[in-house]
Amino acid sequence: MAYFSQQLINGLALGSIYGLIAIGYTMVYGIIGMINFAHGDIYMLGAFHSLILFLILGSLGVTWVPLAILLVLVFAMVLTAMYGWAVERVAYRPLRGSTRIAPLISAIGMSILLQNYVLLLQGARGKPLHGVVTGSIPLFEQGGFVVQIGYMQILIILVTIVLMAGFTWLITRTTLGRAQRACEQDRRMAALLGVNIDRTISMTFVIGASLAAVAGLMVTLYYGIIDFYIGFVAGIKAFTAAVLGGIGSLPGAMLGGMLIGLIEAFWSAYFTVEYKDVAAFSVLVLVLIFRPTGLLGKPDVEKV
Amino acid sequence: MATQARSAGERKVRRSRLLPRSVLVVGALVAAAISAFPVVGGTDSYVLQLIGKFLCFSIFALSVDLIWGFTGILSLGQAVYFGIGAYTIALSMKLNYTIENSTRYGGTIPDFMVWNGLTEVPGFMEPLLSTPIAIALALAIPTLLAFIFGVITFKRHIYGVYCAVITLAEALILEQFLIEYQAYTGGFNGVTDYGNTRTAQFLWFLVVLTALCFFGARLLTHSRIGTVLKSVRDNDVRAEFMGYNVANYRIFVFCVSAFLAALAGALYAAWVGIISPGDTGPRFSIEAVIWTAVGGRATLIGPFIGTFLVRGLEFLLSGSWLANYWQFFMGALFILVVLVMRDGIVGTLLNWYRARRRGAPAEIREEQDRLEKDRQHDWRPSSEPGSRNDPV
Repeated sequence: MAYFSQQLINGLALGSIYGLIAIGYTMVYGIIGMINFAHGDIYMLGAFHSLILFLILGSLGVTWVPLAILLVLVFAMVLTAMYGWAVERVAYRPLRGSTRIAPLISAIGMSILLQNYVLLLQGARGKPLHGVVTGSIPLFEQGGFVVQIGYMQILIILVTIVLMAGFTWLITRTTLGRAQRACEQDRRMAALLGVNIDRTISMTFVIGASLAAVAGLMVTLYYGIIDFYIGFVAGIKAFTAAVLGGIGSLPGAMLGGMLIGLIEAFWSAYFTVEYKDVAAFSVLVLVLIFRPTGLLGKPDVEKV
Repeated sequence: MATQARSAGERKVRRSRLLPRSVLVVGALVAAAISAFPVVGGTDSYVLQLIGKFLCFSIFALSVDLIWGFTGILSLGQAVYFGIGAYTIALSMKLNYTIENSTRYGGTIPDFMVWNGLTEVPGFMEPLLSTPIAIALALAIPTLLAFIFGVITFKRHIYGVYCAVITLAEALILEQFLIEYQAYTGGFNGVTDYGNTRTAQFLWFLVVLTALCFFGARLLTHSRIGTVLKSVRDNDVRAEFMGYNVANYRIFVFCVSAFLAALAGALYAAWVGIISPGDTGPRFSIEAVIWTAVGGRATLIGPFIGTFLVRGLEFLLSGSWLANYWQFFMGALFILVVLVMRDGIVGTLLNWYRARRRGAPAEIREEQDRLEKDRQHDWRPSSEPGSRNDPV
């Protein structure tokens, strides 16, 4: 039971990170129906931005941890959002209205480009960042096994909850959110009613990228080491999360993220740690084959 | 369907010849130039090895083109079939090579098996000791896998985005398994040091096989089946309404393409003499998609040109300071091809040639091109709201 609870906590923390990335996938898919393959790499950029900002703040003498994290959070979000915006502007917008395959290909190209951009600038070796948030609270003890929740895990879950609340408010209560929902339903009609489609889509990418940046920051703090390749696997897992929850559905992305995090944590705990990626990808294959609409997705209606 | 075939025959549709004379002449010249190379450049040269490698890659790219360019199924895991073919042949060669050189190894089982504590060749690998069986397995297993995959996905009406992602996940899973089961696969290092077939005769053989694959693909795409495949690509719903069993056509072409990929992998493993898990992973699959896109999808010569161009460029740059930036350029090139030259090199040239022959003013040509683009509803999941706003 103790071991189970511990894995539950680990899984939830990990799942929050996947959920944050998955939102970017699901939003973009919902609004323009493409898989943004470069989103995993945007998240990787977010992680590198966080790392660099921590080092800058450290050299500036900002040592009070909460302030440092807050500053890094804000700046990393802004910087990464700019990348997200630029990617859409350069690689996807010119292709709007062309075939559906075109943006996907240019997204794959963008993914390769961003990965190698970071590889060239930062090198192939993993970059460490140690001991920003350490320590943990023991919850209970059973048979000599102490279940504990790390401050970092608390931070991850708290930040995710706050962001989700803000994000839900943005989508349901603001003009931008309404425009986004309108574009999702019928882009042409939305345009006729005066919604600025290009701006709305750009904002979708900006929001997705800034959420991915938060995920990047959390991963940098949680694992303490990042490299240029983390975006690929994390991106596919987050995409799995989005599909599992039902692609296009925002609560679904969060739910899917949590489930993938839990599956991974429990798989590593009770089976073999080597196959945890295989477990996640198998879930992806099975869900796509047997329930392509995911858990919360709307059923397909084939219109001719 | 039989009636449709007959009526098509009665209408006497003007079809292009199976092989235009120009293609034959150019193809024969290229084949002759490639296979004459050992005579001119010597059988040991590095360029010889590269040409053989590129020929294998070309067959692989052709297999991607068949499903993606002609049928509109984007697979991001085509390397699975390439890899299984390659691993089967590599393991077979390794087993035999170890037995033939047992004094050097001090045993009759492959070195990576010894390192992992195996004392004899596992039972399920024993058929691989016979070369004909190994070749048959290398081609049959991937085709069968593709058939199973096709039945599971296409029969359930899964295609488009979902299909691309399932294939991608497949490639990731296979790569992981090959790395983890190192006692049987050599793990992260792959299978190495099992000799190779790098001779002038084998290059001839490669050239002939490549030409056969090309002709076979041309036969397929210019047949009635090929026409149906293209209609599935352009609008699967309409093809379904016309009475064609779209799923069966998809399964069929997927199997053919897996067979070609397995053939390419088997030849590659024999020619190069080294195979690693990376050759089965998603990155390699995506690379093949890039070659096809650069060369020109939905043209048969495109994959060949794309492969030789991209890989050749990589080779030329590999010695210079630009080598570090190669992957970066590759990404940029890919985006550029999509943005500027959507039909790839061959497609763009063909469009330009046709437009010039038509002699229409530029505006009309652009208008026509735009209309042509609009008609291409390939790779569009029907789930997206408002995606099919074309009048049917």
